[in-house]
Amino acid sequence: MASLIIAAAGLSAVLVINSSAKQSYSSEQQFLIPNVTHTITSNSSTLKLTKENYSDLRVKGFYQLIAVAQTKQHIYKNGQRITQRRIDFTGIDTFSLLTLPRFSRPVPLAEQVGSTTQHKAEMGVASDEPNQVIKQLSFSNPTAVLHPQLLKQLKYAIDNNEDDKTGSQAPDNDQDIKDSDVNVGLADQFTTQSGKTLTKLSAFESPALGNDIIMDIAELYRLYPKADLSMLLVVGELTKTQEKVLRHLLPDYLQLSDTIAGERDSELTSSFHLNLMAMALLMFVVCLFIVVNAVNLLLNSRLIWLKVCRQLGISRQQLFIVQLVEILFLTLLASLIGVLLGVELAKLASPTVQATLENLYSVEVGFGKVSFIGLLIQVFGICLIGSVCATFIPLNKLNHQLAQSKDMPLSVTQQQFWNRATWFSFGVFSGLAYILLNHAQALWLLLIATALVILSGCCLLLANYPSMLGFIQRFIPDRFPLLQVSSKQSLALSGKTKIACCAFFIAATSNIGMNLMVDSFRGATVGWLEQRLAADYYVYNQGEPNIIELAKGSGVAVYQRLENYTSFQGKEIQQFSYPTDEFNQQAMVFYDKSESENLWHQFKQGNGVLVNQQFAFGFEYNVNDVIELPHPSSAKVSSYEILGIIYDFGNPYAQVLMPLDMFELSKSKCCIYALQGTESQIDLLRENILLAGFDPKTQLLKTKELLALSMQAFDNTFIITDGLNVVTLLVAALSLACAIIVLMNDIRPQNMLIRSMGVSALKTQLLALFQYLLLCFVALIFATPFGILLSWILIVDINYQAFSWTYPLIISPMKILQIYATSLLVVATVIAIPLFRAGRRPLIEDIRWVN
Amino acid sequence: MLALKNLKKSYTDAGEKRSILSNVNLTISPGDSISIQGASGSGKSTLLHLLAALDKPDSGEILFTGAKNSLRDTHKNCHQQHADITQFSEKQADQYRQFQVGLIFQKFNLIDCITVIENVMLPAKITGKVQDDYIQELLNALDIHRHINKLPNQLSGGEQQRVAIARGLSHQPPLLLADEPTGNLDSKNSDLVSHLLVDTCKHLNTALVMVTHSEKVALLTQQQWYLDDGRLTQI
Repeated sequence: MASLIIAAAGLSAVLVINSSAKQSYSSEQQFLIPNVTHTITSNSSTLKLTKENYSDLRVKGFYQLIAVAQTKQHIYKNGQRITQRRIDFTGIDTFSLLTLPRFSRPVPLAEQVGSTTQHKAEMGVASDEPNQVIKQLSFSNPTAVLHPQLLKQLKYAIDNNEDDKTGSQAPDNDQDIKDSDVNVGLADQFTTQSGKTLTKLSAFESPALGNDIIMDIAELYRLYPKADLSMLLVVGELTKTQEKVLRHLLPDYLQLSDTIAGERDSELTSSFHLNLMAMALLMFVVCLFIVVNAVNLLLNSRLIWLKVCRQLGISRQQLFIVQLVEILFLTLLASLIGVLLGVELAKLASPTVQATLENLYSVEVGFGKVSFIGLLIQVFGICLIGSVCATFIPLNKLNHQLAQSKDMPLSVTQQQFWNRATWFSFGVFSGLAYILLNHAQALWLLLIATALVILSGCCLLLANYPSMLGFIQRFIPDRFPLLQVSSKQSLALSGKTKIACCAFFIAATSNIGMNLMVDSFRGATVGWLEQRLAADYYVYNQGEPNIIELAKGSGVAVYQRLENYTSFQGKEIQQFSYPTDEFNQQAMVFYDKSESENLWHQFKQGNGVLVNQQFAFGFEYNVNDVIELPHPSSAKVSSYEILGIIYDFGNPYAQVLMPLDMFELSKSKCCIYALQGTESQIDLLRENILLAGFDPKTQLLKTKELLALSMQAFDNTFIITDGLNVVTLLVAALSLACAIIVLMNDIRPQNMLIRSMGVSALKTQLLALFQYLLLCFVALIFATPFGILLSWILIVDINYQAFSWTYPLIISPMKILQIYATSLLVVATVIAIPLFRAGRRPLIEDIRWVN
Repeated sequence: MLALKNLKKSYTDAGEKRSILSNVNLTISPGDSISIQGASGSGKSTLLHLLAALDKPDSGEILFTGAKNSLRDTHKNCHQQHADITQFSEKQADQYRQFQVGLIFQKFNLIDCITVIENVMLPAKITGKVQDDYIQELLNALDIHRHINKLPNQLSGGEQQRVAIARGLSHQPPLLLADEPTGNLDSKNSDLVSHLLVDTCKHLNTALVMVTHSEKVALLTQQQWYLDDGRLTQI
């Protein structure tokens, strides 16, 4: 029951997280506005999208254009900041939006005024909810829309703030949030930094809303007059002619992009979802191993009763049906509890998951809307299939036990048959895995190949357990007779704990694989960052303030990095400037490079380019291949030789590096400044930044701090993986513990005999522990090469397919030993409980039970 | 070697106190062979468990006097001329069973994952008293020398019980306690095993206390005792 609950909780948590993230991505660019097909943004650091651009285009007949202004700001109360991170304030030109046909049809009054999400859901107009919300934004008494979760956070921040003064306990429940759906005057307490009161807030549950507060554009300008127009949204389809005309009308610094970019993000995250899903399924499968053992335990305890039922004439089929019905009810109950736990778990994990996704993909992640009934049906369905499959093995065993009075050991022929069958399965699984790994392109096929590799490992382990244990026995000296007996008992146990051993093997393999992968990634990232971040300080801004101007006279050497976005083979790619001096040449980290000695000379001359792995793998180019690209300034298409392929971990874009002098500031966006200088020179620059009205603390980032920040983000990213790893290991250990409880009765006579020879209870317990640890140790030995293989597949195949970049695999013996120690410790801790209980039983009880 | 004085033992069954042994007195000398008979539930096995220090009596003493050549191996309390095994701690009881007692049960007498010779040698190895000549003599006496490399499940019930006798004697204990050693065997095997058990103990000068239902088996021993209504009487 407990194992089913764990499995259901894990599965539902992952389903909720996945569903929230997917909904967020799919609606990332829309700000609650449906049917946005294109966006218009500025690609220049100096020239921005203006109100004049907007009005010009509308005057020329493009009424489907809707202006969006955005600014990131903190929220204040009584002059004190109450938000931890900046909120995205977004203003939409709702007046123009509501003149569009989709929004201008009449709407019943009841839906217009103060209608909450809940009311609307009850009225069955959920599909039209965003439209209604947008209408609310522009009414005579406008409201701002935000996600209930964000409202809850803000309310909590206020309560905390008040607690500091009054010491009262802050109420924090969903009812409060519902009450404030319309307006409870909460917003009266919120102000901008300049003291302007925010408009009334209305909670609306939509995955498109993350850290945003959406309002009418006029309201945004009232609060933040300096906010920039960030983009124009094209609502509805554009005909080809319209698109052509629009592109023609746009000034050079404005670009029209379709929302494919959003879909691209979704594709990128699909690998993350797949990863998360694979881990959850792994945990689920290992949980099912527990179910197998738990059902075994249950049936074992009922065996006498079931035999009596058989003697009374109840058929085996009837007995099985009763057991299956019981499993069905247990699964339903476990699914219900598991879903409730899983949803809570997802809520707890959501900040970490949001941070992870934001760090990985530089996007905002919202809060998902999940149907409880739908989730319950999904989880119950999966759990039922799993538990029925898991029950099949113990029921089959029960069938044999009810059919014959004595458990007959396998004959030599039967043993040989099973041994051959295991080797055959190993051959089939590994052969299929080999074919898929070498020929499959699709990510899901590669994941199947990974599963096949693990299954082939299980077969290899089962086929070799006897010889491996026999080999280990040779090293136990004669003066430890009990240890010798114990190791031989391990061999007998290995036949009875096959399923539990396989569960442990799977958990250990994935643990080694995932840890080596993360370690390799960490090592590669540290090395890459340390080499690439060669300057003393970095400034990440959108060109404002202009550091080159401010650094004049300070003596600080400034390397400006400019970027452009262009299309290559129908996909958007980045063109990035790279300095060509000796210092920056040394900082470059190559995955592969041209053997030509004058690589940098050719790069400087503009004859060749450097591309990142994402570009090379995504478009299937190698070093020395020639590609045709538009010039970053003149847009004239020319041929360039690929001089090298560079590492660029975590970048979702394919990128081409070109010399700085090919870029023009007016046509490119400035994103990074690398600074080299003495501390006194940097101090001078700091003063200049301060004089220009900017905070040098937020502008200048010391390389060491940047490295620490990057690694912190890296570690946060893998918290989820680490957590799932430990849970999987724990679940495997629990599976083993369940198997041991089942076996306790089997080994009780043997332990009784040894204890009757005068061996103490403690010694007998330690010997039993040794037996199980020996089994786990052998499983770990086999799991090591498979774990390494798994990490290699994850890095070389799956990462390649999912992200189009790879990194070298680093096999750290210390890490593997650490996993050995952790795994054995977890197993020892978990199985010590049933062993300890067995050890506390007086010997006389065992003797009476046996005889 | 062992003297039982006024031994009393009772159990509480469904809230009712039931006396199993009342004022049991018995003396066991080295080389004695004693059989204890009685109806089911009369307390035969309980008495044997008390002799093996597996259980504690309500009152009374079981005084143990160790033979000179074996006293050096036992716990310091066993060095005393008359050590009361009812007062032994768990550790002392373990030591007592390890060096002074051999135990044979009705079933589940062998460890099935190790060979016959490994089963036989195990107590000797645990106590560090491996004497190859003695073991060989034992195997020959019990006629199991041909099966030494077999696993227990490759032997018949009678052969398994003979291996159990060899195992019970391999560490040369002064006392062998057998609880229904022939209870699971057919009459032919029962005769063979019981004869071998009594003869081997006699040959090795080991005291034997055997609990049995069978009068035929009991008659092979020097003394026959009957347990009835908690009282032990010699037949």
